[in-house]
Amino acid sequence: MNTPSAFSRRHFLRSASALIALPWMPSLGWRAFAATREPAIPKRMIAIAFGYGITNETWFPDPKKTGVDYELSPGLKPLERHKGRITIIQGLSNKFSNEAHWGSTFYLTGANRYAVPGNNFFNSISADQVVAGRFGAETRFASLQLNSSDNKESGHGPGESLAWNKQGKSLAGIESPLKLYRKLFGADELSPEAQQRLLTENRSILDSVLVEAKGVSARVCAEDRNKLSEYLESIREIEVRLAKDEAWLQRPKPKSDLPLPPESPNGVEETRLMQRLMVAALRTDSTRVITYRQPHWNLMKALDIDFHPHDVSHYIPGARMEASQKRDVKMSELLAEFIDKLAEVKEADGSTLLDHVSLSFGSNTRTVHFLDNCPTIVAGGGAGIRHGRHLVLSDKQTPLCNLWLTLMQGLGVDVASHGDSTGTLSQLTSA
Amino acid sequence: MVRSLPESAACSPDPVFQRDELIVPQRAQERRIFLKFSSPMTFKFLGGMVFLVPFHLFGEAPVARMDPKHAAFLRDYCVECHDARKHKGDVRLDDLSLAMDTMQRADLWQKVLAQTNSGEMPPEEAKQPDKARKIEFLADLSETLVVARKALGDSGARTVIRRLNKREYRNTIRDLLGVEVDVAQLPQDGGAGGFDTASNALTLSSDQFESYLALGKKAIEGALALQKAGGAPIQKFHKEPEGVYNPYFARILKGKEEAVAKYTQWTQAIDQLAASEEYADKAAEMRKNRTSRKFYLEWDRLVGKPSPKEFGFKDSADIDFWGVSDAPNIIKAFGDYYARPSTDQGVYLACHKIHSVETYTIPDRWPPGEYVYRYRIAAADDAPPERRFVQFGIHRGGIDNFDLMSTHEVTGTLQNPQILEVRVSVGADKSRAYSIREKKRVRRGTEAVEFTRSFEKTGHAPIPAIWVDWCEIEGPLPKDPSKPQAVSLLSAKEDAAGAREVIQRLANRAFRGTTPQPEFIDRLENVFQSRVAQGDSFEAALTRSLSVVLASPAFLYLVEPENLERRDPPPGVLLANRLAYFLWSAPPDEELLRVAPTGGLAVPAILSAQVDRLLSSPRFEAFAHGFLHQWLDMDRLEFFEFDTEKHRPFDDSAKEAARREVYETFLYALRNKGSLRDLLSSRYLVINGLLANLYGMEGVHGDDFRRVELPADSPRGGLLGMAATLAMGSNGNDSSPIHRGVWVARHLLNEPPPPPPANVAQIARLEKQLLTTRERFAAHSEDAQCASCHRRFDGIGFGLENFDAIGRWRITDTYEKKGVGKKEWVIDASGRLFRGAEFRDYFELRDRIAQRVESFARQFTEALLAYALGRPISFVDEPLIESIVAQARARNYEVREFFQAVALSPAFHAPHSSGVKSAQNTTR
Repeated sequence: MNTPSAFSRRHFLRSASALIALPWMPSLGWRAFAATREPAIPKRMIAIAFGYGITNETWFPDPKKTGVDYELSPGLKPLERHKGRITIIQGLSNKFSNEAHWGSTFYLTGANRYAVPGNNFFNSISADQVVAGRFGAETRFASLQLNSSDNKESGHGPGESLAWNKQGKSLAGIESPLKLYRKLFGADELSPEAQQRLLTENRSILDSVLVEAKGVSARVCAEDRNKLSEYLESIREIEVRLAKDEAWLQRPKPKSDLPLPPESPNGVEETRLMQRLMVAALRTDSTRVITYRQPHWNLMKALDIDFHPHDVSHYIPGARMEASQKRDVKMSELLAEFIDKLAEVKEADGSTLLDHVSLSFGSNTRTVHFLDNCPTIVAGGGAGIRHGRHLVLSDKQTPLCNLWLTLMQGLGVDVASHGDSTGTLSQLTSA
Repeated sequence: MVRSLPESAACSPDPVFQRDELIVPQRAQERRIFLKFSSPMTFKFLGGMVFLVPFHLFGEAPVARMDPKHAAFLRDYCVECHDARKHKGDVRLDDLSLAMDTMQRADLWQKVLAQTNSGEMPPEEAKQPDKARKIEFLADLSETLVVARKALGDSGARTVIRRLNKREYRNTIRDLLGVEVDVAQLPQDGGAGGFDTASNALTLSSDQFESYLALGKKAIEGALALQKAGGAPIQKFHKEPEGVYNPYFARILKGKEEAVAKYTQWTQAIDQLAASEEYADKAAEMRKNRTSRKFYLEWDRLVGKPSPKEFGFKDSADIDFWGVSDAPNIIKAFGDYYARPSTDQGVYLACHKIHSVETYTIPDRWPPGEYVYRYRIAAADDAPPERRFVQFGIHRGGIDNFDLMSTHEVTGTLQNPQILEVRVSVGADKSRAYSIREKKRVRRGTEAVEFTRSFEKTGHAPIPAIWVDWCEIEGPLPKDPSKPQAVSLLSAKEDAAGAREVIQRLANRAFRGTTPQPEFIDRLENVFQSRVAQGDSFEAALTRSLSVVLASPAFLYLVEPENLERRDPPPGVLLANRLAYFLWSAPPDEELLRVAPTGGLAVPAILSAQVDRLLSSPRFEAFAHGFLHQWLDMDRLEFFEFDTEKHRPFDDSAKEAARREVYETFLYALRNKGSLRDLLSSRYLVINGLLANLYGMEGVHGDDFRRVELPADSPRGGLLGMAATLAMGSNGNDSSPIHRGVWVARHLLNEPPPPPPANVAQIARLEKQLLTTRERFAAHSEDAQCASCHRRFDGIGFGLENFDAIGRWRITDTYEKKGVGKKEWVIDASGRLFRGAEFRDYFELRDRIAQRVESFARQFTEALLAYALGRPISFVDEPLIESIVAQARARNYEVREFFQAVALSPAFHAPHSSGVKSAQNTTR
């Protein structure tokens, strides 16, 4: 068989690594540097999803009051101080979604689970990964995927994070603030020389398993080989990352003034810590794309709610509805705090980090088992949205992917469609 | 209108990979299914009949089809707007085929379901179907869609290579190296339903590859430490706790007594002052709205004298610090403590204010290995039955922070104490400190609450119930000869040749029969050498190379070559691998590998004998835990922290025992020629002392699970009466008829309800009413959307209402609503099975379900096959399933028979090969 050797492919990757832009952020902090060389402040994207939906009766603003003259509902009250900085959209949904307990699986992809005959699960690339494909080369981490420790029980659905790669495979998420802290700021114990040696060694380790994998692959049937491609693919991903690591070798990780997060914080603390770390990651330009499957059950536990999240999603008037509302308000409070944090960070030109972020907050599940009118809040100036409004779309089945497309284009990513998008939401940017 | 699917993403292989011939194009051509069936076949599903295109139209996968009568439904209520002319909302239904033979058609039908379910269609102003007609339409549509999704998603019964799942990985490392790795850091296996053996759910990402490298390194390090410690002398440690604790208790008691004495002097001084003329008014005013304790504590702040300093306190806050309010109780508790027998010979595990957790640490200088904790222990004569249990685990400080490892009943008495032994395995990053305490609930603060409550009720602390005479730790224990021999990682000579030898040795065994490629070994030797050249020690450099072996595909995947004629490995070894991973979730043992290479397993009698041997081995427990837990959806048991205020007996220990009851009952049936019927209804239980206590049965003591006969009128016996099943069918607080009904329908009756529908409105108009459970659920049958599903399972749930949230039998139930009131009623457990017989009460329900043993057997067979083959069940498997059920039926559904039938089925033996089907059948 005529298999390109590991070396020729390696060679390709090496030369590809030369194309990977060197980080433009010096260890001193990018501001001083930016003034002299890089005038544009980078744009960033954050998408947060919360699994099971919200309390229908008290979360949505009155659909009859749209535009700027609307009132925040009880569930959104904590966002009052940011009313001018956010936009609430009603009428979005993923038309292929049928899974009443999967609030995050197709949230950013809009995929049809049954799109491939002979397969009972299919997914496609998520919006954040499309953006990471464009922005990722500039930063140490192309994107960061955050997950919660209670992912499985919180109505997020299959997947380890909100992010799905080109092949429709779920990307692993970091489920604890401590792990994220270590990833972002963990000191490199090794000198650059030692790291270089390690990189070389990692390459020879990959070469070894590649030899073995190819040997195995050559002996198995076509279907098995297809399955094994996952293994080879992951080796390749690591090679690409090693190439990038090499490019970043001389640049130490940024320093952080944040304290080391505790090992297992409660759900509210967990969310706050993740927020702080997200801000820190953006501020140090460690990445420009972040997704977060927010905790749900842990959040409720921290609020002394004893019900299971699914039971709360089936609220009826009484204790469970109160629990549902209490959680809504806490989520809004936390979102408001996050916006505060983003607005506190000043950029070189006096603008704030928030001005350059496209932040979205929502779920594929509205409430109970409803998958239409997905709760959606967007904020931040990154995608050029005119905020301060409540939009109720006339087409009640507008694809959620139209929003992702609008945000992506607003961020300057050149894409014509995403998932099942049919166009952009011109209302978001127009007067 | 159907919008185009995001197909570009589905089939765009990465450009780099296109150049790599190793990667085949996407899925190979779908193959046609040929079945030799003489009669048309309707596929029994969901308890109803779903129309399928008859199988005599061979060459096509089965097609789900709506009953033609529903064309009229569309015509009457939909087509007026959704026709060729109007096609409102871009939807046309006038030409919609009743056959759901393509994704597009299934999607459109799904849309019809969603719109009808949500009540949006037909629109309010249009003509509405009557309830019965709507129920029938919705029920048929949701059932047919499930079949359609299954048919369109059918994988064609092809078994595909898969990697080891987390359980198998952990067990394999344990066999290979004799160490336990913490697999919690690996990502979750499994995707959209199915078992953790399903190939399509066992994906691999780059993060995971790196986790494997890291975990492999830990395993190698642990194994090296263990092997170097091999033959270390056995150490022993013996502690008489009273020698430490009695002097310590004396100090605490003295401190408390002094504090109380000082406090008494202080309050007397205040009383004196308060009685004086000068302060009488002030005192009267202060007493008005203060507790007496507050009165004394605030006196200092408001009046200024006498000063706490005069009485030996820094200030009044200091008085509080000394806990004087609790001190009298603690002093009393100590008094009670020392009034008990044998306090000079040992210590009691008493309340937390005295001493409740006993911890001993294995000294750091003792090498890694297996150790035993041995306690001489007894329960006090007056200890009530529910307080004769101890928990063993890791105490992480504080009152409640305890990682439970095991629970033990204390059967010894003060006259005749017992010896309790618990084994632990000590490794590099494993705890060396283990503790014992009385069985407790884990919720924060419960212990302090119990202490206070006990005083309120009885004027005393809870009596100390468990007495410990002494504790011993002994080890490292010699290797258990019944466990697999680990690969030796030690080398006589510490050079490249020695390293190569070890690498080769590990790879040979780790690859389970596949010969490692010489080039692979060469490269790993190079890795070793470059490490040594950089100054690493022999061991460190070798560890690095060895950990790569444990991240290689031939280790991580259950590899099976296409061309079996090369005999690398021999087909028998491949079969041995399949068998061992099916029944043990671990690699084959020596005996299996002795029989396998010579082709012995090809002889049905020999294979059958080996299957029996594997089933009888203690290692088969890995199957029981792995399979039963998933099959019966037992992870729901983890969902709730049970309200231990309301359900005190159901603490973590009880929950664990309840889980084990399911496994142990299954294992008992398997090992004793038991029938699958026993799981539906039986006259015996398999329980231990803890469960007997939970079930209120007398005369069963100790930690071992054993068979216990039941009286004829017992509601126990079979899954329906088990605490685990019933607790899963609750929300941690109250019973949940819906969950119980769905569970029974899915697992026992093989009538899985359709998935929870999207967009069904919820009934919220019952607030402010006090209703029985039945009355509340009656609303489900009012709306067609609810009724179409809920009629399948609500009735079964009602039949189980005599069990509360943790499975205790009850006659009445209550419902309480804040601000509305409380209602109590006698439970009516009568009902009717969906499309089935009526039942008067729980006992009749159980009988009716037990009569449906064939459905249960079928469900079990499907699950067992899916688990064994590592793929979802296909329509092609239908004849095989039938034949396995028939074979088992002929032997009264003996549990063992199912395993024999699966292991000897052609499907289990089908080679991995493009295009080979496993459909052919069947009996041995």
